[in-house]
Amino acid sequence: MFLERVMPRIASEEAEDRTRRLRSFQAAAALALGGEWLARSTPRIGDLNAKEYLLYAGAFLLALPFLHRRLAAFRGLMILLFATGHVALTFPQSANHAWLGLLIAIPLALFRFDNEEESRWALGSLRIAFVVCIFYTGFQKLLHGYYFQGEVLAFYVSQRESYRTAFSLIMPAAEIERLASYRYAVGAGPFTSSSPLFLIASNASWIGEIILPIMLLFRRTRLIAFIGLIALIVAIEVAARELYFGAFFLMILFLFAPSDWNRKALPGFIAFYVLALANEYLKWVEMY
Amino acid sequence: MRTGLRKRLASVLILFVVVWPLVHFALCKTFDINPWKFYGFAMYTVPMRQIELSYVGFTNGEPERINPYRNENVKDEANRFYRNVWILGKLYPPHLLADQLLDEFPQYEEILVVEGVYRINRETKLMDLYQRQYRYSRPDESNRPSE
Repeated sequence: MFLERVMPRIASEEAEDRTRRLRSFQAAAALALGGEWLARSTPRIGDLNAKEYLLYAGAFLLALPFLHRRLAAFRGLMILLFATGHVALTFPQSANHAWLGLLIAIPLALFRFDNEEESRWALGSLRIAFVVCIFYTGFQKLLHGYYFQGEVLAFYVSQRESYRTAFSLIMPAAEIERLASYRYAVGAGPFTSSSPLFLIASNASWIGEIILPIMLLFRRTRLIAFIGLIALIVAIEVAARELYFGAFFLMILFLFAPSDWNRKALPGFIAFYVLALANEYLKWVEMY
Repeated sequence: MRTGLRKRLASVLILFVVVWPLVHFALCKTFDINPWKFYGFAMYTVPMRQIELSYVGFTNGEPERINPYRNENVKDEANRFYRNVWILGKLYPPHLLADQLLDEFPQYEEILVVEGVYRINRETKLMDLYQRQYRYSRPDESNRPSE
């Protein structure tokens, strides 16, 4: 089978290293799924509906293995249950990170990390899923065709302050002012810009999303692709401010890191979700 | 569960992840589903969808605007229709809502539902409203909707 031949190349680390990475990532994924739900829902705890309370309780359950190590054996199953519940209870409105959570949860629950062959498949499946995911975000932009003249980015510059701030570095102030004057109404526009740097940024985003994940698959180009994708995610989040999504993406990307970065970064991720919870109350930063 | 079965399940997942975005794109183009939804990896490919719905009743051919959100008996379905058509596009036609409107407003012999989706026109780069219409007559006079 094709995947049988591919997996040893994609997950070529030593068995112990794979197991360590998978355990760290599993903890990080539990934090991402539960942490986002708790941070977003706690400020409106009195107004949640029955389904949301159910997910709120599930998010707390995801935290239990952090408190009691013996429960870590059930973490994969807990993540799968939470992710499935999240998609099912919010369907068809389910957010994209709910779907991403489910996609990640399946290999985490399916494979035993202490089995040499299964740990290779677990890590390989997660890496392939991530590569396909990033590749398609670029490929879909190519198919839909609204990035060649920067139409979508120009639209978001017109609608969101965070985009205006980010693009003020590469666009003339007059262009930003023009775009900012448009409302969501018939005849508004044109949603494009003649600024060369803006057009380069717009096209570099989809081209990078197509090329960099492919480079991740090969050992020779993995490190440069890894650094490139960190830069791309940071650049996207400076404008889009989908910070929960960005944090989760970084965790998955860290599966490609030279060593177990998710373990090292876990305290940082915990701090991020605590700050995110505070931000939901205090609104320091606009987050989507 | 044996290792082989686990591997087969993971293979199915990977195959699905590879194929689904292409199906998703086809669904977007054919049925106008919201590219941001159903995880086709197509977020930010287009501006976040904004729709505009309008409802018109006809008495002796004379049009009159209807506000279904002000009617206790149809507002729930009107809200559901808004939420679902925003995501599902043509896959969620207003049949049920139209039936309720015809029941609730006996004075109209015909109901017109107009769905408008804002999009940037690729050629002019200007915002445009793309519309589709569904016309419903009373069962004894007619047929199912014409789009």
